[in-house]
Amino acid sequence: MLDMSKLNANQREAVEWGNGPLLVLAGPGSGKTRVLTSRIAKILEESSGQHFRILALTFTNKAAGEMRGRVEELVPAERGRVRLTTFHSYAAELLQQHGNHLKFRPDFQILSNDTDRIALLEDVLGGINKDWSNPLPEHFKAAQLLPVITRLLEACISTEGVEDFLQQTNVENAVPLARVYVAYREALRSANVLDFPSLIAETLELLKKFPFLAKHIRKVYKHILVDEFQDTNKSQYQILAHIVRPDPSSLFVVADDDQILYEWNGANHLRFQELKHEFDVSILQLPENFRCPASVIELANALIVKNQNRAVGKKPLKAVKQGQSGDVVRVVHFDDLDDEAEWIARDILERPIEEQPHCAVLARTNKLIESVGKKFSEMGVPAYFATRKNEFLSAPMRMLHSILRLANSKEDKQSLARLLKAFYELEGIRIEQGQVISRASADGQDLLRAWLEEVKLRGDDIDERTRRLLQRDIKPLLESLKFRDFADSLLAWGKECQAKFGPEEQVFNEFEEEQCVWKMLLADIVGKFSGEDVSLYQFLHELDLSSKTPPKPENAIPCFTIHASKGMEFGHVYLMGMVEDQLPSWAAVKKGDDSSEMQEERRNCFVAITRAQDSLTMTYSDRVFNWNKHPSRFLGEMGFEL
Amino acid sequence: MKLKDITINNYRGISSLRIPLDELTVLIGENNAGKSTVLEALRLVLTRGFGSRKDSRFAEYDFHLKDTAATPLTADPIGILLHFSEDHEDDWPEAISQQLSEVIQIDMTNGTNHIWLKATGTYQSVTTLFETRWSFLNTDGAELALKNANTHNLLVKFAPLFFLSAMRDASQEFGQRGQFWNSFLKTIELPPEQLREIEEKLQEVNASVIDANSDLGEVINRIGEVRKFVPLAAPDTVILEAIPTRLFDLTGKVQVHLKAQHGAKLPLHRHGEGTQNLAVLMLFQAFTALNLAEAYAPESTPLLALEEPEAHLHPSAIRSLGTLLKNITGQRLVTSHSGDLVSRVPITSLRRIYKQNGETKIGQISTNLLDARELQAVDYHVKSNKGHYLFSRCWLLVEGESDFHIMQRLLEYLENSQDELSLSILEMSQVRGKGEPFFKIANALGIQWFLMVDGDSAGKDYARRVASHLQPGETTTDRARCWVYGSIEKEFWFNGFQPFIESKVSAASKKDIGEQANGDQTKELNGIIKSAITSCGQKPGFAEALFEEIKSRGNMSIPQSIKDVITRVVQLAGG
Repeated sequence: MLDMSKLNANQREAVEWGNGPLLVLAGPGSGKTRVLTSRIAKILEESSGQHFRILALTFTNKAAGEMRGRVEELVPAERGRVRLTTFHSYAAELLQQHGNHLKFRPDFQILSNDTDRIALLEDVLGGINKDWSNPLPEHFKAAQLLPVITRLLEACISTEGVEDFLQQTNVENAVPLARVYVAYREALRSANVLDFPSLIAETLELLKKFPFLAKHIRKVYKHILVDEFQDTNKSQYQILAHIVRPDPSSLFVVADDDQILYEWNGANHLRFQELKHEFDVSILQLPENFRCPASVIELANALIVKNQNRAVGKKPLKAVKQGQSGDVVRVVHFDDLDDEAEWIARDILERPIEEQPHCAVLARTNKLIESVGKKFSEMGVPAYFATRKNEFLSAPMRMLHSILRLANSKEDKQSLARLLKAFYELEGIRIEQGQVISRASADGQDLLRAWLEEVKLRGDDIDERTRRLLQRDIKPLLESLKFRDFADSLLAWGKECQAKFGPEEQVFNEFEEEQCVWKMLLADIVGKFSGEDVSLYQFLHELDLSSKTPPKPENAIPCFTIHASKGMEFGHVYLMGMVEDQLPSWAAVKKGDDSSEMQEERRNCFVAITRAQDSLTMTYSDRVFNWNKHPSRFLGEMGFEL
Repeated sequence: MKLKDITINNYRGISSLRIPLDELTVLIGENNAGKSTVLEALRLVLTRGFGSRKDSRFAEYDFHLKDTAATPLTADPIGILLHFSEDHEDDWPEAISQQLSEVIQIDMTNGTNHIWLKATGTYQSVTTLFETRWSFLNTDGAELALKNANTHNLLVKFAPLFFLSAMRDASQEFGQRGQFWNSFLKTIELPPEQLREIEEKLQEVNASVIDANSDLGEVINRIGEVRKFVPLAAPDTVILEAIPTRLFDLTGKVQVHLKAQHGAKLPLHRHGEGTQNLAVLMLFQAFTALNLAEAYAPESTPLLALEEPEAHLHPSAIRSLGTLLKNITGQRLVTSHSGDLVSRVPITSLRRIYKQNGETKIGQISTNLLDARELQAVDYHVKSNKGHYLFSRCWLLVEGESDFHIMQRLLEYLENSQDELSLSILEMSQVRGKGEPFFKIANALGIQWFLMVDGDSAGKDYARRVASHLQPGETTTDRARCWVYGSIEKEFWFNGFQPFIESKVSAASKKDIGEQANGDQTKELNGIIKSAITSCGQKPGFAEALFEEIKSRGNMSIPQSIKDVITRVVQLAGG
């Protein structure tokens, strides 16, 4: 039996809720993850022996992984019945299983980085411009158009409706833009690839066109739970709505409208109204905060109450944590950002050694974070930046990844180009892309085999180890897509290359960390598939959906943007750069105090300060990046007289 | 969950074949046509314990070799594809859709669930092994990426296959390891108190039986000397048991006895083979009714593959068995060589496997091929009473009794045994619809056919109907012929047999016929032939007499038109 005694009354009510769709408004530190995982565990436990499943959607792999771990601990026997995953990963799964109805084959690839997307878009533009009679405007460049395409995808604009939509919104060049959009989506389809926004857009298309699919999903998934609902953009919301519609009674959504940080990306408080309107959700609030000291809660409440667009009747946070000592809240003023950064670094280093890893530096922008990062590296202290990393950077890893991609998708020219580059960097042998492509078409071979032939032709230029790798060790990969032994051989080979070059060589930057990440992700993905030999295809898919960011080294000090810090907590939070034009941002300041931009900035500040478990230090300077700055208005709103 | 069809590629004798299945499917066809190959293919795919690539359930001889140059190492991959599907939306229990959701495909027009499971056997030159690869396919036949190997085993759990081969051994089925029997033995459990009591009693009984024979004591001592050579426990090294004294031993030896008509109780294996076979089938019934849900899953639908169940059974027992097959739980796939068995199953459940130009084909009568009255006609004239016709390679369809009897004898005479050719002569003047139902089912089942009719208007009507049942590229003369002189008797009359036929009619009758005809030659001829038939004791007798005459004259005497027909049907039957 599950132990409910650790839950408070509100949490328990949420966990045991059985009266139709529910929206849980969970403030920061209110134990929402515990509520979600307990509810999942409780449903699973009570339905033991039945076979329906639970779908729980999150926004990050990290959150999904953590929750999966907790559920497995609570009800190990039932863990196979819960699908705890991200919107993107679930969308990819639906497209693998049913995407053929939209002409996507199940072995589609994911374009995880913008370089690949831009390359594809360039092809599209080139293709359209071949038609001399009707060329695109000259200033149309792939890199500039990509964000527009992304926006259209995220707004779930259909190919049929895009021209009208662009014209109605008075966009310049609406007609050619619409052509590009339609052609780009078609190009994805014919290349059998999907980028992140089209994973969502095509899944929505699938659900819209084929109502039997949603019905089937609801037959399998009797409960739908959503974490961080406030982050859903329009397409994601619609996917959710399609799945929920056949039976909304078991919808369970956890959100905090005060933590919307992605309004620029389509997340919006209006979504709460849609949810309420369409599914008539009941609302339960979890105002208790178990994380922050009472004085921080006071600041947070004072701050957020200034926002207009909040849920009706939203209760202020209630501090649960008892007793506090010392300087829980500090506001420190400096002349210059450099002093500010220096002071923060020193202040952290003056703390007892065991306390240091529990400190974190937060700031609105990466640029501010870098200033502290620089100080840490000057002092020889490791800092940890959790920026998402979509691709490997070191040459051996790039070579491995591109060979695997080529083995999986035999006509992938982007991967060929990457492979040629990495191989050149490592071996100094330049092979032209054209050579490989024409050999492949002449011999009727795939690109990888054609490349191997070209390498073979270089005869004596290739040393013995490389020959072994590319003639012998690669065989199981070529014959039956067995990749794990080959990966080990390639990594060992890479290490030997590195020894030859010496440690300073640029192309081996981050090679060590990336090997760790590789091993970690491999173990992770294999674990997800419970023992089965993961196929190369499946492995690459999961790899594309995962960030290649290395895990935080134990003694490193986290330096995060506020966005990256979402969902986390730290003992001692240093929120730096508390000046106008940083937090709030310059754009929000320009839009004015009542603008939605300003409200989003306020939520940023709210999120940042509520990460703190023991203490909060806020700093500001008169000069930031050589500009004179005023202290942030939010300091004033929190009640500080400066 | 129902298995909708099996598609086999490059497996043993079959290069490519798709077999649609019903609740009950009866495979018929000649030896070596591929019936057992189909069952074997099914067994290979639906046996538990796969998932590993290294599993080598396909061996050299399983590869289809398309010509003499082909070897297993170069042969095309073996492919066995099973397609499960719902009959209508929400047909399958939710638990099945839920557990197999990863591989379920949806027909987006009606919401039905489908699963395609494929086993591919290939030779891997790197490992020099024959490997099996398992995959689930989408509606376009592309492989789905699998997250979980368990899906295979789940599928086998929901559609467990029970295989009863032609060589089945009842004593094995009713033995401790019998696939159905053993599940019953396992369920015998008693409270400990009662168990002890029973076992004590058993020991008592044992002791009194053994002690009754004083010689046995000496035997025990002698055998006990083994102790000198190998380490054994003492005392009581040797124990004699007339009956098992522990319950699990006892239940393992539960035996089935059937009381014969004369009242004697005989163990099952002492009964005839046919009775034993039936008992095994009944045991399967009991198993599905009582233990299937526990042994597999409550949602499981058993799939019974039954090879030649007619073996050793009396024809009327076979017909009863045919009726029984219609009512057994689960999906049944049966192979049979028995016309009696076929006579008792719906004609639409038949699948006739045959070879055409070296390719294996499947014939089937779809439910909408015949209307109710045609179906009745086929049932009456073929299936119910002459089920063996459905096993023929070729049908010679004739219009009258004379034709039936004469052609039968002539075929024999020209050394074309009907049995060797697998040819049947069917008389169809009594069949409604001028033989059309016959053309239809013959075409549908892949049976060759040829029609021989009189030259009168009725005959011409038959021939006309043939036109709409020809294969592409054929003309009516490929499938039908009218007698040059109007009927088979006249064919002989005008080809030198006039004196013979006239000799069967008395002078007086001849005179009467001549007077009645009053100069109408046709009428006179018809009258004489009719009278000759009557005087020979009707058509069979006439045919017999005519045949004796032909024999005495030699085969040169057979009219060319008749020889032509025989040549054609022999050709058709030969494929």
